[in-house]
Amino acid sequence: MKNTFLGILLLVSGTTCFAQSDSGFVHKGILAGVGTVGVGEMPAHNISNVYVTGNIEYYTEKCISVRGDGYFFVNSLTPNSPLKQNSSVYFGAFYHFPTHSGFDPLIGIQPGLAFARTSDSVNGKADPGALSPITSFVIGFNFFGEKWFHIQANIRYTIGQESTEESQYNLSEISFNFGLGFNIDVIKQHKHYRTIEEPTF
Amino acid sequence: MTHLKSIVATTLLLLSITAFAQKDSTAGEFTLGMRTTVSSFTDAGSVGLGAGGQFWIRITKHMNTVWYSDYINTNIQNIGFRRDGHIGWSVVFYMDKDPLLTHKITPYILAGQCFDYTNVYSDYYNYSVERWSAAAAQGGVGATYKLTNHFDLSLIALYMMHLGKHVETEVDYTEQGEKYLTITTPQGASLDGHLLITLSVNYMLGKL
Repeated sequence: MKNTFLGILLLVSGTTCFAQSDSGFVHKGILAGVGTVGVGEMPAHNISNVYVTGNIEYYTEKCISVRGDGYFFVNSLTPNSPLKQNSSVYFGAFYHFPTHSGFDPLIGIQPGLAFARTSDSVNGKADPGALSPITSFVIGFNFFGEKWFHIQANIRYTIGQESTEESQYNLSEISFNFGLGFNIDVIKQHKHYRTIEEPTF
Repeated sequence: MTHLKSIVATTLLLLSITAFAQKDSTAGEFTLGMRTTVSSFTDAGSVGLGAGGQFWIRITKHMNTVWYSDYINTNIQNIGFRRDGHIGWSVVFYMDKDPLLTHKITPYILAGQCFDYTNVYSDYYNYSVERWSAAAAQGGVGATYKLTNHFDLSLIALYMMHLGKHVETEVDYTEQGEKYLTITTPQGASLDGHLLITLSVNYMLGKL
């Protein structure tokens, strides 16, 4: 899967950021945040989960952004699910395919940490939960249709495993979220303040 | 063991001297990244997955250093688990005439040392073993692809040897054919280790 991902990135990076015209909304200096609800499906256990999710993203270049995501576990939709907690944080980088509009397709890698806990127990001792390393691959898009707001959709595949003395639980999951976000132009504002501070003669 | 440490120390000293003697405009580039690591060739064929972070400090045009931290979790055939924590560094040697150019793959070799924490647990015995080791050495190859002047993807394959105390695991079977995990802690040092394949995304913040 990683090889495929790398191959896709190498292929698309031929369309260099620098070769693009300045048309389109996406540019360096956008700071964006999204809060929304996500759903996930764990194929290994055939259970579905609901999360409150959020992320903060900064465009370091027109086609590159760094982004941190948080997933707060609300509950499993599947009756009698053994999963009682599965909240996680991710941090990584995204490649944004150049376009000439506000549509901003993206692909990214985000390693992270998950805190998971199940209802499993051994000798009467309940699973206390554990922090587990996870990694995820994301495809999705932002759509900047207005100066301050955008919509965002992501499909994320997470790979991970909870390992405690009471439970070894596969955390691999495919999740989807869609929501409305807020964005500001950090660099433009910075320039604006500098202009005001400069003395005039 | 003493010879090995001496060789490594001498090599690093010589490389450092060479590095500073060749200081150039790329020296001091500071790059920050996130990494995901797959650990294999250990624990009865089970594959572990880890997450971590790293930063790079470039010394010369052809030499870089990478400082990293990883937390790796391995489920051993559902009969136990292993947790590894690594904090370490490697020296990176670029073989290209002009390394790290945009839209070009730059191969390299790298070697270094790390501090290593291991925790292995067996379900069958309800028993776990912990070990700290300041003597793990690693070496391998890697490649970096720069998508832009500041942003790159890197893929690294390292073999890490735990030179200090080690923890061995073995899958055995009961008379009823049930699998269980045996953990042993042999005396003395050995060259056991694991292959770490790391994919990372990195962003160059600037020069120090």
